[in-house]
Amino acid sequence: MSLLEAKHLTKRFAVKRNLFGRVTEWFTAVDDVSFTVEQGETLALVGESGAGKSTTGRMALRLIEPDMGEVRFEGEDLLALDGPAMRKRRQDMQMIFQDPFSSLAPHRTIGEAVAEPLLVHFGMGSKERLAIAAGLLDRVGLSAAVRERYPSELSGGQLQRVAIARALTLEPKLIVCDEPVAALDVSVRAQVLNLMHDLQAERKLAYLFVSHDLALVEVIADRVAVMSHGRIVEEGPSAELFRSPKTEYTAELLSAVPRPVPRSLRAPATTLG
Amino acid sequence: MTVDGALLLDVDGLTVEFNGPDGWVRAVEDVSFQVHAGEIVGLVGESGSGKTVTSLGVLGLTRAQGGRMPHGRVVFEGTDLVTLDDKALNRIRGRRIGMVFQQPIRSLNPAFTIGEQIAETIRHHEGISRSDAWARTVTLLDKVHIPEPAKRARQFPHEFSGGMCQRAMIAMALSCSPSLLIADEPTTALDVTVQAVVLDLMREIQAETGVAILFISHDLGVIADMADTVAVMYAGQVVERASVEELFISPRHPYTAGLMAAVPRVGQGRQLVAIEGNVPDPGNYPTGCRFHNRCEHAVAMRCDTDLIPLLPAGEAHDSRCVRTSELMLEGVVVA
Repeated sequence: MSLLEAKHLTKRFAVKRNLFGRVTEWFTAVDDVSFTVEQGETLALVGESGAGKSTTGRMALRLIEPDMGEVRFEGEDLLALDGPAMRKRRQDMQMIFQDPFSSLAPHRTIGEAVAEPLLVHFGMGSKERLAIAAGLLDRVGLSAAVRERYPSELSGGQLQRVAIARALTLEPKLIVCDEPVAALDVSVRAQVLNLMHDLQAERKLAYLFVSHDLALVEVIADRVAVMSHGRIVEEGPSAELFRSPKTEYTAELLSAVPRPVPRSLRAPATTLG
Repeated sequence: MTVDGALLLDVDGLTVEFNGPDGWVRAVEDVSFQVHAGEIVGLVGESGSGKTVTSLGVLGLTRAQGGRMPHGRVVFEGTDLVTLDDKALNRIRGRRIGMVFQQPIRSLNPAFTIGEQIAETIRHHEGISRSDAWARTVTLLDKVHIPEPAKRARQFPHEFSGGMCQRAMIAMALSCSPSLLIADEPTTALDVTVQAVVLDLMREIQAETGVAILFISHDLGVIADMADTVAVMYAGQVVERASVEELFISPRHPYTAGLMAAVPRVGQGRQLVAIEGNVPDPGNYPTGCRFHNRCEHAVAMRCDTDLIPLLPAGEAHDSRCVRTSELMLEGVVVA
């Protein structure tokens, strides 16, 4: 049994309505997408903007209701759950966004922000909560002084560590990461990716990693699903997909990634395998 | 490419300060580099390193942003731009120096068609007739590979995709045949396949017209792709300068080498080599080498005391590191 199993996910959005509010034009953002995520592994959803990867990631957590299809978490049909049951299930699945600043309340200290899920889900007391938060902030490499600070006082890289710590408070099994390092500088990006990698090994976490950056995906993912126009056009183990892409589209994406090797020193480009 | 063109732009000791709550803050300090005719010079650095402020300084646009330039010269085609007033600068900007920015849609006026805006630029600088300006606009749009240029010229910016907008911006920047193009993160907002097409276009136009390009990017991959020579910036200073080959084969500054190691590369494996710590804010730069508190090679009393000048590190290669000659740093391994 897979940790997460998505089958035939489809989502369309209304583009135009007529005078009576009936939809006359639809945009299909995600079209019949199926995939699985196993415990402790990373599946990357890659594609260009508008490919439907973020919508797919949100549907996997039921943050967006799919129009059609099925989402199973540890075999349980998520779409059949009612409000309270779904809320309970959410302990096992968390999300990290591209912009950590906008996902943190500006008037709450970092320590409180990280501790908050424990109050919401377990009604845990303040002291106990903050102690757990302190441990997690320490684990993601933030000093004790950070606990008393506010989001506006931290750098982008530090905030993303806070977001990771907060996502970990409920000890989830799956984290959907939507472009988690896209806004970070190169030198800081590597720190955050390495941290995510270590945490995965330590806690058997599964990641559904949404990204537009292929070079990054090869480093972080076990398996990769390439999306284009709402569909998965190719899926496979990371190493294989990067070595010998099977579709024209993946090959094109790969060849478009700028490599940090000067033009005059490059080996001839690899061809479609 | 070897560079044999004449000296076009000589930036020497450029220093830019902005007025903050605690007084003047030095955003860029003692930045020097040269651009020769027909050359592509890459300016690479992370956010806050001062690359954009440097380009604004070159264009004389820092004053408009509330900045001042206490030192430095920006000699372009024999004239020091720092000494010019706005009127004189306006004759150079857009005409001798073209500009392309990151967000093309923000640089275009939504109320006018693409063609009107380009033709207006040409007429402003060259005073030619409307019909001549329009004819040249269509030719320019064709040159940047916009399909059906005569029809597209009559469309508004919102009818253009991001990649198409950036092509139109490049057409506008080139409209008066400048000798220098300043491109500040021109492809950062674009999808990777569109980015590849726009970079190809810029290279093609460079080869065709011989325009020199000051290419600013945070992306080492894009810089490797485009530049002939590179200046690496960190915390408001140029920390290393070299030809693109030299830089990527044998970087001489630990920051440059660290950046290269931190970039995910195809076939690299799972662990990235991170640079610990964060980029310091302007006004809070550490004394001595500004990178020393993040540098694994830093030595007390040598790296953290005095301001470090750019030191020669090879032929046409400079590095702002006192240990340059002692360190063996790894670049990008070439297969």
